Amino acid sequence: MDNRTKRIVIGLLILLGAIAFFSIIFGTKLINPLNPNNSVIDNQIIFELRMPRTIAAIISGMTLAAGGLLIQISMNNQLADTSILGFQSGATLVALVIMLAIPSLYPFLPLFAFIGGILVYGLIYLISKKNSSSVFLIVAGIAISSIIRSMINLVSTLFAENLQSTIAWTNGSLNTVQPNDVKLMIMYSIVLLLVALIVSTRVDILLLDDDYLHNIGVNSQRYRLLIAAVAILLSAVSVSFVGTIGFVGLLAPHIARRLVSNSGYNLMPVTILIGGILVAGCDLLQRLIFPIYEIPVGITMSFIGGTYLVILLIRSNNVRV
Amino acid sequence: MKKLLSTVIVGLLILSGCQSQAVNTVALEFTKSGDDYSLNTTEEMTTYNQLITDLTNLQVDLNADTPVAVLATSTANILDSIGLNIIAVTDSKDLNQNLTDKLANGEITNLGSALEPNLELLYQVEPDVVFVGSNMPHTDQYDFLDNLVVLPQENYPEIFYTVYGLMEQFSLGDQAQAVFNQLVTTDQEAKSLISDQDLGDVAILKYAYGNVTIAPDNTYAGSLLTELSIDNMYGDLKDVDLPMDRERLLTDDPDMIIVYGKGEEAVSEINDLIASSKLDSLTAAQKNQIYVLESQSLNVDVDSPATLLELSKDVYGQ
Repeated sequence: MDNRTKRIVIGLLILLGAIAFFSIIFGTKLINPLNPNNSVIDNQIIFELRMPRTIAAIISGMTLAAGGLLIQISMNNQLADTSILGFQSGATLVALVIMLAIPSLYPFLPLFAFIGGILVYGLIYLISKKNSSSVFLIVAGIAISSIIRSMINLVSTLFAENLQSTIAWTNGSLNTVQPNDVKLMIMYSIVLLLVALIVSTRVDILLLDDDYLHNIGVNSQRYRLLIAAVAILLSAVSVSFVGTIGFVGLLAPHIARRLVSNSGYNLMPVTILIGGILVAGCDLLQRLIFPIYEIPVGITMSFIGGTYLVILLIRSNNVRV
Repeated sequence: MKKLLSTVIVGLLILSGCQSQAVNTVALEFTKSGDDYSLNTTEEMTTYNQLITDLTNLQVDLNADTPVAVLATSTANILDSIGLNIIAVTDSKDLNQNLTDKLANGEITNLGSALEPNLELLYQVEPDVVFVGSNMPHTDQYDFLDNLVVLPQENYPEIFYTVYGLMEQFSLGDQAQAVFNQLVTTDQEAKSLISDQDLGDVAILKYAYGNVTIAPDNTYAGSLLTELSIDNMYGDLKDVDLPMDRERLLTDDPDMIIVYGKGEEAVSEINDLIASSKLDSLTAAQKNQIYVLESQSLNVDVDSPATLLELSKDVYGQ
């Protein structure tokens, strides 16, 4: 990590800490968490509602951002994202089916969601054999995502009574995240983010042409598949506990690229921190703007991310697609 | 890389296996015993006061002044009509006038949308009991609230044992008794109109937000037919909210069609829909037996007996 990246990481850490602190202080009322005279209810609001929510926002942002960067590297496409390509939809569908069929497997939801995401990846991989252009991949992902969304709607309609509590979840909601969910999220994300950081030190080679890599004895396809698997597993963690939050994996790496060099080694820590800042910041912002009404963070992120994607497409001559 | 991934997955499996979800649901069961309406709690809840604790885990003394919060509109309307002390409620245009005025004046707290209530505000108002209707689409989402009571609100008779049960447990006064008496009187009036006449094939349909769906016996609308001893031709359907379309209507050709919707606006929309659907060839249309039923709620409510009376008058005549 170069000195500039180190300084940026420190700056982002301070910013993330500030957002986390404000997320705990601000809400429907101002509560100082350090005040020893807080009422029991104030402490409950902090420890049972605001802290789990803030931690869940940061973790989901970090995992989605890391997953987004890895998938962009794996596909060599800066417009790729686990939500745009339908991996999150695939993960959501399988998670939904598991919640319906075997709810006792809840703690293992990320692993099942991963299977959903990897199946979508397999489909896209098969389709892309005919046409491997990056734009084609994105369009294929959007098409598969639409098909899976229709299947999610079908399952939700057919089993509406059994899946009542998943309405907010499919929109990416932090409102009812429980401390137990957060414990699971922390367990999964610590390991996976470490893997992402390690992997990111060895991905720059994939910027080279596949034919060249083949000539020097590197099996780039297998390498790309392994990186995609880590990316999908990362996004599965967020999907399983918070639901679908789109575009974090697109926005965070793009912002990171404006701050540091286009090397995975520098990009990954910055991307991870930006992801956490984005989701936690969005959640804080909407809670300040709409103090009474709970707006799922997935809706806000989709609005911001969709707008950003349109801008990116308009200026696509500057982006590798 | 392969080894690393395998280790990670095995590690995650072991770690996550150590966790389990904590569920603390406290729900009451309201049941009907013979002709008497009474509140029977589940076995472990026979001593009501010992089990309902507030958000700070303190025992709650249930009486008419006990502060309650409500996360569903029709539930709030029921509780308000019998005089419970509502201090916070989720916002909706379908709240009764009293609650709407109190919200507007800031006398009670607005908890936001019923689909995503603001839990921080809920904690802040410190209700001793939190009510939600069993008809709401997310009751299990709040099972971490120790003082959550899920009111049964899916079948017509539930309005009686809900009101009676609450009246007894909260020691409510004359207002609640008067409401309960009125409910029983209206119910009896509706049922007094029942006659032996053969009604043929009867279909009851629900109109909500532009969609017409079939109401089997296990829905609120379906239970209205059951109460009036009317055989619902779609009564045995397992699926609720199955869409009804013109083709199905023409194929099944019921002798009587009852379409039920919430409020005057819905009634007007239903009438427009019937007029534009070219249903003249239907037996029900030829017999002039397509009835539009106006209800105050799409679920069990304090107006349910009045809705039943309206339906009874339509079907069996004045």
